[in-house]
Formats: sequence, structure tokens, C-alpha cells
Amino acid sequence: MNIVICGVGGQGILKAGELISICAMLSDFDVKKSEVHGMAQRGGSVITFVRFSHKVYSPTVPVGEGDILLSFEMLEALRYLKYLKKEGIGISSNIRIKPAGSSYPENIERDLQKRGFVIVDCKSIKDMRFLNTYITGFISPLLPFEENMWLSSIEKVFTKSIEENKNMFLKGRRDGDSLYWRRAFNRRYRKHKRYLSGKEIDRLR
Amino acid sequence: MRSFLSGNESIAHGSYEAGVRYASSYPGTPSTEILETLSRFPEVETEWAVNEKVALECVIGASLSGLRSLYASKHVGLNVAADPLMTLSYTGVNGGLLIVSADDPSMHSSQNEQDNRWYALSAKIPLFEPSDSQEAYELTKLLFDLSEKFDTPTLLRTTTRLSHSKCVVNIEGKRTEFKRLYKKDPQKYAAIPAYARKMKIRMMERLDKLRELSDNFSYNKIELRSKKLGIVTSGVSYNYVREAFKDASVLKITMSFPLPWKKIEQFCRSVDKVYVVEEVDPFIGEQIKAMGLNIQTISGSFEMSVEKLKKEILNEEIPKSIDVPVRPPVLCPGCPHRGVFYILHKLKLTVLGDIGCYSLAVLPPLCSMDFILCMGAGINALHTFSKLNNKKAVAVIGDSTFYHSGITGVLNSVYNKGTGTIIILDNMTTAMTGHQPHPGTGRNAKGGKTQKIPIENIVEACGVEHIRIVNPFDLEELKETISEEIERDEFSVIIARAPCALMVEKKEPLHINPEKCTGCNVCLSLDCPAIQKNGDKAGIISSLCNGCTLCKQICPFGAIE
Ligand SMILES: Cc1ncc(C[n+]2csc(CCOP(=O)(O)OP(=O)(O)O)c2C)c(N)n1
Repeated sequence: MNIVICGVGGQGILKAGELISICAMLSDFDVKKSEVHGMAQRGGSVITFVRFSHKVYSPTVPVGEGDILLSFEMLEALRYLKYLKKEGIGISSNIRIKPAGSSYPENIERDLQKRGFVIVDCKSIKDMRFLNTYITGFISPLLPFEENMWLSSIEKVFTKSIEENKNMFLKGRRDGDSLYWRRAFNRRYRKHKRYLSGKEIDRLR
Repeated sequence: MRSFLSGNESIAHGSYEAGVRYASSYPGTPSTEILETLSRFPEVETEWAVNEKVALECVIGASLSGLRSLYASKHVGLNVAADPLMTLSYTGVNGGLLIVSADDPSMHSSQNEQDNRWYALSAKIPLFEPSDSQEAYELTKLLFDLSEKFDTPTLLRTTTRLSHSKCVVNIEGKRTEFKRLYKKDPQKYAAIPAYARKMKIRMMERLDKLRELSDNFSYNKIELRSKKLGIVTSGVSYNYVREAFKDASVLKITMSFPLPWKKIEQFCRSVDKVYVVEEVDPFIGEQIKAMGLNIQTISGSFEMSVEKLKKEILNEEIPKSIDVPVRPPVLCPGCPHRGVFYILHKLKLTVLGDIGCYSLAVLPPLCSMDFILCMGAGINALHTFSKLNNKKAVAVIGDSTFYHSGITGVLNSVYNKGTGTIIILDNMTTAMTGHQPHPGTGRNAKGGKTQKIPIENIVEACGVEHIRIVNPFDLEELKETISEEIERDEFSVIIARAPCALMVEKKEPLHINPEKCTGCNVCLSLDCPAIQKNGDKAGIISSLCNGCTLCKQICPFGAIE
């Protein structure tokens, strides 16, 4: 399973990647996560790769092989779209952050929707520190991990506000499960075996 | 214990278990977390040195006294430490000594992408390239033993995708203490020409023994699969090779200097076609070619990847990205560097720069830095640039960079009657690499208190007669001070001092009165992420605004409150 997480430096992207990775490790998968530190975090464009399976080699996701592209910001979703498989799942927050010195593409939300993206409404989140747990919760029904594994991963990854993070994660998980997957996308994902069966999970492990 | 560790963390854990007593480093992406992780172990004395040469020499002293010790830096850091390195190979070690060089292919956060494996060849020391965190952990432990056994420093070379990728690592967690005795032995440790010649002979004999080791080294491994395609590879590239060509035979080289010649010959004989895949230079490839073996190299520039391999070997096209506006990193809202560069831009001065967060001022709209080479270069380039041409120019340098390699430049400029003005951007931390302390902060690598050594005391002691300290959030003061100092025919120093915006409480955000805003765009020239244009008028995003007031000071219509 190849997950690409992207957004703007400071949005909590690295923590989201860590959360998914730890959960995969606790669920007995081989996991690799790759990111780049340094200059990239000063409000620049940020990308993290998380891969898990029975054995993972490359720490980066090859272009065109992402199963899920999770973007915290809409322009970044477009930027890294090339990583997504044709039949992969694109998910983006509806947050827009204007890059310094250039204008923001018009109609980007429509554009992303046309390309099959699920747009998650994140503007109602009051405290943006929890954007990452909410959005990770949102995609969590697509990943083969038990809910209690997620919750214990949150305890390992976060040192502060653990209860709030858990609550935001669960809220995201509920919203993800009901609003989008059931109504509009479930059939498509079942077809592409997004919800893995027990046997398939064993095979991956 | 199953842990999820980055390459850097694995090296720290491996060193801890190998009984390392002392480690020294200067921050630099992608190596920084090695020392940061090691600092959490109470048994290990860790220090941020003022620069890499100092770090390596301190590490050598610890080894000389019989203790296992570790040096870590980014690739360019080893350039600074190259002088001790080259002769360290002659003297050898007492306590096991490991040098970690974290190279940065693709220059994610560096000024170049030099391949530090050449240092091993040049210094004639054994070189190792782990392919993932597990191997980094195992090799680190082993390399202290090898260092003592072969009486040599060992070099572990990582690249960004190892340093900053995490994977599952099984660590033991058990530490073994080592201590050797120090015996006076000038024939071994004092490199005067007469002794150094003997050292050289011993060093060449050691190299022969290391060649033997390489051929018997279990981490240099032939994996025979298809006969048609054979790939020789090292470091992280091994993973890309395994992923892109599951059926290919692979010679995984982990000890890459000296090379395992017998294994290479054997491998090349057992497959029809051989590629050598490595990051960055064809270091292994060129040596194999020189042996007269028929191989093709895949290396040269930038990181390796599965896509790159498929393109080179199968001619598969790499899918293109969609064209979207770039999003370069920017100075943070409330950054104390911003005002200085705004003024330098206004004054249209030539600015010889240096490396740090402030390097971002090269980009538009600030566009106020003309030259960046390596740490400390700006001050010295300014010396001749201004003295020989009578040019109005300034040099800028960060505080951590000043302690690292600015002091000698100031001394030199005073001694040689320089005429330039240098501006030291003192944000009281090493911001770019994640806020490590330095001699001006009064804190050390372990978080303890230590003596604070202010920059003004140092420049004064260097003989600088004109020293001014300014508040970089007062644009008027900045402009006046800089204008006055550049008119002077003598060398002068301006210290612009205010703490990094990420270290202090945010101040009340400002807002723009839409009634008064005329949409003139003057505030946008500050390149502050908190200011955005909404339609015709400018607006401030209050969650981002730091209340630094620079925009308020430059708004011609008093619209910012
Ligand atoms: C020889 C060498 N060592 C380390 C680095 C990495 N590096 C570049 S500048 C710098 C220090 C930045 O701190 P400072 O000068 O205080 O500027 P700030 O980022 O705080 O603005 C570091 C660690 C490098 N480029 N070259």
C-alpha cells in the first residue's frame, strides 16, 4: 500500500505520516516512511511517503504508484497528482494557501473533483493543530488497521493533547466513513479492493 | 525490540550500544538528528562544536585517550574537517572512531551534492554504505570494532533518503562499555615528516588488509537471480533496484572502499549485462571500468529512484507533473531577518551572503542577496570585492554561521585593512536546522547551562572599531545605520539582534483597514506569508500574523493598525 501525503510546511503533514506508519508497524506490517527536513518546512511545499506491505524496498513511492494521495491543501494535491495511480484515491482538504508571489488557480476545487478527488471540508475545524488527526481519521476506514491500533498509535505519536487528538481522529473517521465512502464512493472502492478482506490483509503481511 | 527509526536515529542507537563515550557535530541537514538523538543518552557526552573541524579534532582527542567516539556532519561539513581527516588516516586511532557523512543528493537542503565517498579513496580509509535503518544500526556497531582492529577511522556514508527515511528496526538496547589505555607513542601519533613516512607505509599495508576484508565481508553480497541482467549497487539505491527489477541478479556492495574485487569479477562473469547503480557519482562504476570490466554506469546527478532506473534501463518515460505555481519556502511571519533584507533591497546594495534561513532572501520579491557559496565565504569575498574596487557592498552572515566560520574572516578583514561593512543577523539560534544552541545562547547540546559568549565581545576583540547593535524591527534605525556604515572607509560590523520568531510568544496580530488601503502593494514587497491580496486590497491573515509591525512601518497610507 502506497500513501502519499502532501501539503504546506507547518500543516502537520509529517505527524500524519508518522501516525499511519506507527499504526502499520503495530499491525505487524513492514513499513517505510520518507520525508525531507530542512528548508522545506519554512512554508514550502511538503511531501511524505508511507509504504507498508509484507516487505517494502524503496522508501519513496514511484510516480504513478500511489494508492492514496492525501493532500492537506488543494494546490498541493494538483502538484503531486502524478504520484497517484489511475485507479488510486485522491483526497484533499478544501484549504487553500496562496503561494508567495503567484496567484491561486481559479476553480481548483471543481478541477480536483473532476479528477475524482474527494474534497474534505476542513474549514470548520476550529483548531488547526488537529487538522492532521482529523484528516488521518478521514482516510482511516480505507486502511486495514483496527480502531484500537489507531488509538494506541495516537498515544505513541503525540505527546500533547492526546484526548483531543483521539476525538478529532474519531470524528474524522466517522465523517469519512459515512459521508463520502458510503454515499458516493463505496462501490468504486469495493471494486478496487480498497476495503481489504481479512485474507488479503494476511497476504500483505 | 521493534522500533520505527530513521537512518539517523539508528546510527545514534548503534553508537550508543557500541559504547560510544563522546560524540561531536555541527548541525547540518540531513545529519542533525544523529547528535540530537545521542544527546538523550546520559552515558554519552555529546557536544555541538562550533564547526566541523573542531568537532573532528575533539573526537580524535577522545579516541586518542582510549574512548570510542563519533563524528557526524553533512557532506560539506566534512570539507571543513578534511584537514584533520587526511592525517588521522596516517596516525590511526586508539579508541574506535567512526565518521558519519550524510550526503544530500538532489540538494534538498544544501548548496551542492558532492559525493563524499571520494574522501575514503583519498584518505585511504574504509567506507561503508548502509541501505536502510536496520543496516545502518548494525554497521554502526560493527564499525567501532573494525576501527580498533584495523587501527583506522571508519567512514559511514549515508544519503538523505536513508538519513530521513524511517523503517522498522530491531534494536537490542544493550550497551557495552569499552576503554583502552593511552600509551605515549609519538611514532604513531605525532606526524612529523620522519614518522609520517613510516605511518604512510603502515597505512598502505592496512589498505591491503582492508581489501581482503572487503572480499570476505558478509554485507557485500551476491544475490543470483536472472542471468540476463546484473546490477551492482550500493546504499539506498539497492532498494530501488530490488523494486524496479525483481528478477535481476544483484551485487549489493556495502563496503565500497576498498571494493570487493573478487566478488565483482565473479559477479560480472555470471551475468550477461551489468549496470552499476549508485548515488551520486560513478564512484564504484569508474573503479570497475578501470579494471577493464564491461559495465554501464547509472549515476551522475540527483537522487536515484525507481522511475530513473526504469527510464535508463527500459527507456520508460517518467510521467510529467501538472504545471502549477511553485511554492518556495519563505521567511516566517515575524522573522527578524525580513526587515534587514527589505532595507538592503531598497538601498540597492550588492549583498554577499551566506547560508541559513536568510538565504531565502535571494528569491523574489526581496531579491536582496547576490552571492552564496559556503559558510563564512561572504565576509571574505566582501573584503576584496569592496577593498579592490571601492564598491559599496555589504556581507550578511547568521549568528551560528558567524561562530562557525565568520570570526577568522573578521580578524582577517581588520588585519588587512578591509573597508566593507558586515551585518550579523543574530536571531540567537541556529534556526535553519531546527534551533540548535551555539556559543551565543548560553546552552549546550545536552540542554545544560554554559557560558554565553556575545558576538560584540568577539568582534571587539578582533579589533573592529565600529560596532553597532540595531533592532531589526525598526526599519528607520536599520536604514540609517546601514547607510552611515557603508559610507565609512573602514571595516565595520552591524549586529541586527532579535530572537527567531519561532522561539518567542506571538504578539497581537495587526489588521488592514479596508477604508484606508488603496491596494498599492507596498506591503506585499515584504514577502510576508501573513499578507495576501483579497481582490484590490491587501489583507492580513490574523492566525499567521506575528505583529512584528514591519508592514505598518512601510504602509504609505497608514492603513495597517
Ligand atoms: C560546512 C557546513 N556546515 C553546516 C551547514 C548547514 N548549515 C548551513 S547554515 C547553518 C547555520 C544557520 O544558522 P544561522 O547562521 O544562525 O542562521 P539562521 O538559520 O538562524 O538564520 C547550517 C547549520 C553547511 N551548509 N555547511
